[in-house]
Amino acid sequence: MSEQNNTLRELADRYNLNGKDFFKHPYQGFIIITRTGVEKIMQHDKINVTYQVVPELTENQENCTIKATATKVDDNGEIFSVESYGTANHYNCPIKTKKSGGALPHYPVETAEKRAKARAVLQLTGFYSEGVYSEEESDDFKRPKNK
Amino acid sequence: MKIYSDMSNEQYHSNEGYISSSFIKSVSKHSIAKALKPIEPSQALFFGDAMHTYFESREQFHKRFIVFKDSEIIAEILERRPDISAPTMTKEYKSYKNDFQCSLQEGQSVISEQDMETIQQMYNSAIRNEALRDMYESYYPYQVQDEYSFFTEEEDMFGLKYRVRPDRLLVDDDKNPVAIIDWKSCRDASIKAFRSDFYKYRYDLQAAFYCDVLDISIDNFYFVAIEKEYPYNTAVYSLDPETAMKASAELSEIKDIIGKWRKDPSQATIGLPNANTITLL
Repeated sequence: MSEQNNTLRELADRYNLNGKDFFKHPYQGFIIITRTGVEKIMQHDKINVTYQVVPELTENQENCTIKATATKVDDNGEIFSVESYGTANHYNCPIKTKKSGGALPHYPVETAEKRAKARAVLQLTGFYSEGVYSEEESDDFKRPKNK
Repeated sequence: MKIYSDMSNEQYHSNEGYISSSFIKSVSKHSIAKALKPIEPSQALFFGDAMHTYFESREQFHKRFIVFKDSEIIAEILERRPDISAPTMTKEYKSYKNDFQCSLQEGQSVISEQDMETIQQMYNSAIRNEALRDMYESYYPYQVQDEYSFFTEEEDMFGLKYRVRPDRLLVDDDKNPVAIIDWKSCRDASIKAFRSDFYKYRYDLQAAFYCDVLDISIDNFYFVAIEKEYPYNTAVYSLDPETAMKASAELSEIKDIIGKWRKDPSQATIGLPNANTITLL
């Protein structure tokens, strides 16, 4: 069995993930965990996530950066914590057009929040190091034609 | 991966232990039960087979398909009996056709002159298509593998093995797959009509599945839609990122359904997923 297959099977067994919780990225071949998958992982590992807006990287409705801190406690009572960031702006999310012209991201705070959460959770649980990414950031991996 | 360059269509389809693209599409459209139903031979399938064979190898085509040239006999019948409207229904015609069929060797099939002409028109349309030419050029240098059969050797995490048989695979010098071409005969190759076929027949899943099994990025999968009636236009289609992502996500769900059915082939896993619930539309 391939290494990717093995890793995925182990993680899927551990977190009770099914075909709705992950899929193979159609362009770059790595595994994408869906929102439901991230939620299952959080629930299984009892991960707590807190959020903070990063003011210096946030500008009105045009650019939003959220810091997520994911924390879990292992069986020995040891606390593990990971911080990660999620951004939303008109370059990386669906946009609407401003009355004065120009583009605004749709729901920038919510989008930045879910991206930050997914990243923090996947980093904390070791998925990131296995080359598994979240659906929330998969827009970043969409690839234009480049041959 | 096991690769066969000369496996017949029949042999390929007899490997039922391996999940195919048709099975995946059929499950997505309805259920496992429907996907298990054997596909009945039809005129459309026969035509598709003949067209694919012609596109891929003229030699193979002429080995397998014998053109039934009946225009002369029809003209003769009509000359003698100008009052009849269906010369192909006459005893003389049927006898001529019977003699022709008796002369065929095992594995050979009859194709009408009209179908033969249609296939030639389609072929000419395809080779003249600039988008297709550009596409080929973008992969140069490449080698062509037509109708090679691929079988995965180990079960994936759903407990499944897969098989694919791309119409045309372009490979690099090291024989690594770089692009897949799928010929689609259709009545109308326009965007609107092809989009309708695309979703109706779940070509999105087909592309995602083939690329998944062969480990090719999905932007290297091309559908070449060729009209089988005048004006025999050809158009080349590929998937946009949103469609590709959705198809890949759905593919994973379908594999999960099939994997569960393999482990527990009961009524609960074989029928329509919403058979015993009230579904809001």
